[in-house]
Amino acid sequence: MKKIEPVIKKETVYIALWTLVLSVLMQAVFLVVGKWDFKVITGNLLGGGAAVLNFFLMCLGVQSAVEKDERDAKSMIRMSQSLRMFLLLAIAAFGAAFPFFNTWAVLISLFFPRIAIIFRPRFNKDEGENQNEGE
Amino acid sequence: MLELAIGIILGCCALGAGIAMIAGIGPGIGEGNAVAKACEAIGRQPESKSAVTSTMIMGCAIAETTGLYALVVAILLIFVAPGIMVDVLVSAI
Repeated sequence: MKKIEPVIKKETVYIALWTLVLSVLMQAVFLVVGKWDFKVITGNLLGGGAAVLNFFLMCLGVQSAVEKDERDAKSMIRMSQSLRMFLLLAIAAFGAAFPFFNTWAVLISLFFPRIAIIFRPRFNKDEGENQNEGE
Repeated sequence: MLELAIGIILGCCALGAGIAMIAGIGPGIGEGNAVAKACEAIGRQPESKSAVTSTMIMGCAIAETTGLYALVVAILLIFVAPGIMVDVLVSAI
């Protein structure tokens, strides 16, 4: 089995933590709106888990692709993206079709990694400032 | 007549979902090109592999969101929209 690079572990942990924070926020919003029930938690678990898994698989795909030549890397990433999209489609369809999951909770959770990435430059900036202060 | 109307609604929703999923092709092509260029960059400067990979991952995740939008629209069209539209139709009649 291939070794996972530290940068991938770091980014996945960052995304997973943000997904957790945003999940709590979403639960709170559902509670305030008065639409909260057990299905929201199961939907959130399914959607959030799928989003983090998708991100991790994408990281693994990129790690393998950058070690190949340009042509192979291109086709490998295209294949990886298609397969991950099918995986997400299957998970989202499962969440929407079965009554144990709240469809909106499943679908909203899929966007949490994207929201986490929006805040990424801000944290990088803070880290950079701290390093400069240290110097 | 009602059955025909419901059939048209279901058909249009399925067609719309299929058309929406065309947007899923774009991110794959974009990510492929980005990674190919990253390979080129790492080939030129192998010491920057970690930084390039990190930036690459974030770029790929952002590019993939377009596909996710399409996926969500397709799922809503298949599982949520028909129920709402049929309810509206039945209540209108």
